[in-house]
Amino acid sequence: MSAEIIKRKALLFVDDDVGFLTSIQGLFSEMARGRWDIFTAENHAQGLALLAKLRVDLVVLDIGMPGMDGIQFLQLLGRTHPGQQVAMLTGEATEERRKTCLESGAALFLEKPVVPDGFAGIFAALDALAGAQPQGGFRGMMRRVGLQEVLQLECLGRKSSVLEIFTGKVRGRISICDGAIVHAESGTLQGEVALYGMLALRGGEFNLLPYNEPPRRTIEGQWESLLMEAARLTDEGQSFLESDEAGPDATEQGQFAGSDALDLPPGQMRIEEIVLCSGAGEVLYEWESKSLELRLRLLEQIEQQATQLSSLAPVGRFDRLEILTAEGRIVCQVQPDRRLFVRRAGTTATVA
Amino acid sequence: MKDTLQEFLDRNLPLPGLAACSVRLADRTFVSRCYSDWFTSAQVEQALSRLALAADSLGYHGIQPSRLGWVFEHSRIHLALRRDGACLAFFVENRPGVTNPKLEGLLEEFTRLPAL
Repeated sequence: MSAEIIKRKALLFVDDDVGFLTSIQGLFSEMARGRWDIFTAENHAQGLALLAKLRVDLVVLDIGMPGMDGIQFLQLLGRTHPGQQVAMLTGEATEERRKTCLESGAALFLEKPVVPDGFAGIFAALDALAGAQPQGGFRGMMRRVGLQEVLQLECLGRKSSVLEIFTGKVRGRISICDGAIVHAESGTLQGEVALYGMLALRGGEFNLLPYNEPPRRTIEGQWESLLMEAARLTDEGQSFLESDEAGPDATEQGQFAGSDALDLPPGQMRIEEIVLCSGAGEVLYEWESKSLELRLRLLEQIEQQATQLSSLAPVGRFDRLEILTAEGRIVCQVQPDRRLFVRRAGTTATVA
Repeated sequence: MKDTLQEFLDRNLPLPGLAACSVRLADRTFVSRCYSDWFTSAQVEQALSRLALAADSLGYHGIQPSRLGWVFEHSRIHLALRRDGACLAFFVENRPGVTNPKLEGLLEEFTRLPAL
């Protein structure tokens, strides 16, 4: 006779509908046949109090709740309990909410069933997710840690992992295999360009996941060289922003650091868009650019036009084009090793 | 007509560091003055044609310029655009010590001159 040891799964359901909580507690307890410990909370405060006392495998959140809704609570959990598995279970599913929840870290977005049979499907999905625990290791939070440091740790330890990175606008992955950075992707970018772009980010969140072989390895070379190059490019972007040429005052730095648009007094300007790319046109850094392709084409076009002008008159090597518009000022700098587009809004008196 | 432009140029030019000046009127004719042997009239007029085309092409990128400054190793080219299609380019030496505070005012004044 063999004894089977079954690990019980702990699930916390947060929903302001007490009747719904009672129903699923009864229904899911029956379906789980003793394999689930079900906890319930009627609001985020009760949920947080429970999470402070016990460790659960899965938190299941309703969205439409008074005070703090489920999406806000999900985002809060991302900060207070990073790594906590969360599923959304809502009666008001929309595509926009699904996208927001999944981008905010929810592992599942499920719609509350309208017929009793539908609960079997929900149970199966939650059961599978609650059982899908990450590989062994510590779970916790590291504050004030840069991506470079995390990458160094992984590479030095010859680890294999995937570093998943999130900010408000950027979502990307860096794959590390046996201590070598083998792939990076961020939006439509891949390879070193994506890696440098992510390493230039000023802040955000990350998850360290078990290694999965990427569809294609896009990065070669020693990780030390890659990280040094990333640091150099980031410094270069910073020094341009801090130079007199780039900006008149420290306010612009604050804007670059990611604050919301500032109401500036007349005469001052704020940076609204930056694109920095290599001499070959690979994007190294991008900030608030809604039309990246268009900007790259513009820089290429300006380089061609400047070359034509240089051949017509003895003006020498091209440095930059400054454009004054009704909205502000644009600087397009084209150097052999880099191209830079900076758009600033506000009033100004001069160009060049 | 062109008298307004001639009067504007006579009254304000030359300027220290200004190597050449060229105006392309809406009818595609040019009025050019060269103050240095760096540039010939033909060169600045050809260059201004290119600069005007380049300014037009910015419209494809959603940029509507009122003034442009092309900075090269030896020269800065300041371009002012008028709504009637006329444009003015100042070709200024790009070397330390050459600054011309009047330049900006003149570019601005050019855009506000009565019909050329």
